[in-house]
Amino acid sequence: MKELVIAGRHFSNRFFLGTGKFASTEIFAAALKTSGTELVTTALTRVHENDAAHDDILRVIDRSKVEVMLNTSGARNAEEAVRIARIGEAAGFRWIKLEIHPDARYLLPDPVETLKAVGILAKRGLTVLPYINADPELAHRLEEAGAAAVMPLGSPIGSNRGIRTRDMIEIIVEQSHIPVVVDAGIGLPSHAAEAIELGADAVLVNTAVAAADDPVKMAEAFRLAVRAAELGIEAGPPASGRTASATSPLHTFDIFK
Amino acid sequence: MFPELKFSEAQILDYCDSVTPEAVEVSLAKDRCDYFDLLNLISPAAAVYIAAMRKRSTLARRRYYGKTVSVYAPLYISNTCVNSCKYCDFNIHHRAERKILTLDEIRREGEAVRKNGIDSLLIVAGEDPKHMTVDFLCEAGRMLRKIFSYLALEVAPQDEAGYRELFAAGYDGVTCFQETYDPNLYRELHPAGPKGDYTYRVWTQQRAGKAGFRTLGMAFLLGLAPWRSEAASLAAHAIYLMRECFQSKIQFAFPRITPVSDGFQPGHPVGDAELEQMMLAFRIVFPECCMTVSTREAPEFRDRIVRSCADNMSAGSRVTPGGYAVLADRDVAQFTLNDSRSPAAVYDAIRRNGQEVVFKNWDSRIGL
Repeated sequence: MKELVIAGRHFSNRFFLGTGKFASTEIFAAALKTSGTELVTTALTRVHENDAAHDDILRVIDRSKVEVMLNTSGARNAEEAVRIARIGEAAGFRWIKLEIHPDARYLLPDPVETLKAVGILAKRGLTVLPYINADPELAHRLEEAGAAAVMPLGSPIGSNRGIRTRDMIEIIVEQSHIPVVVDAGIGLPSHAAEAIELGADAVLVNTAVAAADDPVKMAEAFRLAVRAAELGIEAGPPASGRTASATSPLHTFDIFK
Repeated sequence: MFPELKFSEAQILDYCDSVTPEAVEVSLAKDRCDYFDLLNLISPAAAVYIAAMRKRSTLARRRYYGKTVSVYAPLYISNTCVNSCKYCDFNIHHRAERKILTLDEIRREGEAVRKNGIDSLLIVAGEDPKHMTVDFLCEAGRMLRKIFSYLALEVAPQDEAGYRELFAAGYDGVTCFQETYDPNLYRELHPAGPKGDYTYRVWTQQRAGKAGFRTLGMAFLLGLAPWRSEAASLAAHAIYLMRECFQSKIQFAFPRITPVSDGFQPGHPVGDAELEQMMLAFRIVFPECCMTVSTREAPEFRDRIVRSCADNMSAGSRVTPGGYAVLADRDVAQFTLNDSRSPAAVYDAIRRNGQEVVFKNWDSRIGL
């Protein structure tokens, strides 16, 4: 597979991890280690900026090896998201996972507000990765607006339902010039492998690891599944079904540098 | 019943009585449940399925809230009240000592709460239009948002314009208990005062949601009326709000009436098993909604319920204005508490349960 580079940063691991919902900081730290992840995301709403004693999550992350991407979870519109990003920027965060979900129940992302916010934040020089519904046209527009990657959902956040937006993700992967990170809905290691096999550059997982009976083991399972899918693609599967078609995303990537 | 619900209390109760064990099993096996699944799960037939419900609810809770419990504390800023609710010690006819905190006292109380680690605050006051004005509450909000990451209000219902001002002042949540969805009983229990207006109260969350509030807390007071029909109304009310105010989160509470000083006896007390059944049913049917459990309940019950369904609990609550710092030992409480553990003891119990205590879950600068 093509090496994963986002905003100039090289990643050797295609498995990104969320920091929420863990039973303790110790368990998160252990899961972080077995995951081998090089990118985590945390919400401003959970960051205790002026309260180091409570800021456990950030304390256990070695930021020379792991990029911390601040997410705008809780924002209902572009204005709130930009405000969160700017508070984060002042606190030293340069990577922003843009989440704008006015819908309080399913946390589905608002495309209009997301596009607006990406334009504003990219102009400020921040590395912006927007969380979006799997909408190929929106992905085009976000790329034009300066997004560093797009993060289409597999299914609603926390639902663990897997890749229900498969057909649209294939199109996004096929057409995108920026990395595609499948985010939300990934409930099993096999879902993560499926996303990579569809041609996604990486996956972001939180609930499936944090809420597992054994999060540390689950983090390893995801790391192995993502790596297995990656190796499988590199090994060149014999032609069959979808992967053999001329529009296969895997092949699209293979013929260009 | 909730005014927009087309079923009568008799129809709901007949339905609940007719639920078969098979119907309960079907509801428990479903991935997404609907209103009738809720009725199935609160039915008498479901009572023997409590273990299966606990398992199903625990999974749903874990999927949406992970292994975390958010904590908050109430801050009572006054106990003056113009209402005459028969079950409440703030009742105008009750000869208790009355106290309205000044802004400075509110700040001192807030700082005392914050010292315990608490970062989410629920402001509570009796209904007192002369003193508890929108302006006063706004002033308190602007001051407290500098101390706390999240502020919610449980005060007299306001109109939409009032809620807009309060939201702008830094409050993000509004909680209002309907007490009972039965309009006749409601009239009987609230014989005088502005609270007598059932309709105005029942649309409180709707007005707050339209004004931008992010979290809408709702409940009935358990013990006043038969719980199954009240739960059916509460669920219908929540479903209605989720459509009308889709930008706001619903937070359920299930407050059981606790003894008050004039000896009011609830006509329909709810037992532990029934309360647990109802809470599990709501978590299964509304997996994404918030659910809180207050210190009205005993420690063992609270510790169990935050594993299986509730995601939010109060810690170290004082229900007396000034109870944290200003006048520590006075007795002008709204009701009796059953969990008097210190905040630290509550946090320890959460951790012993294998869960993380979440202090900060919001940031008051987001909505500025």
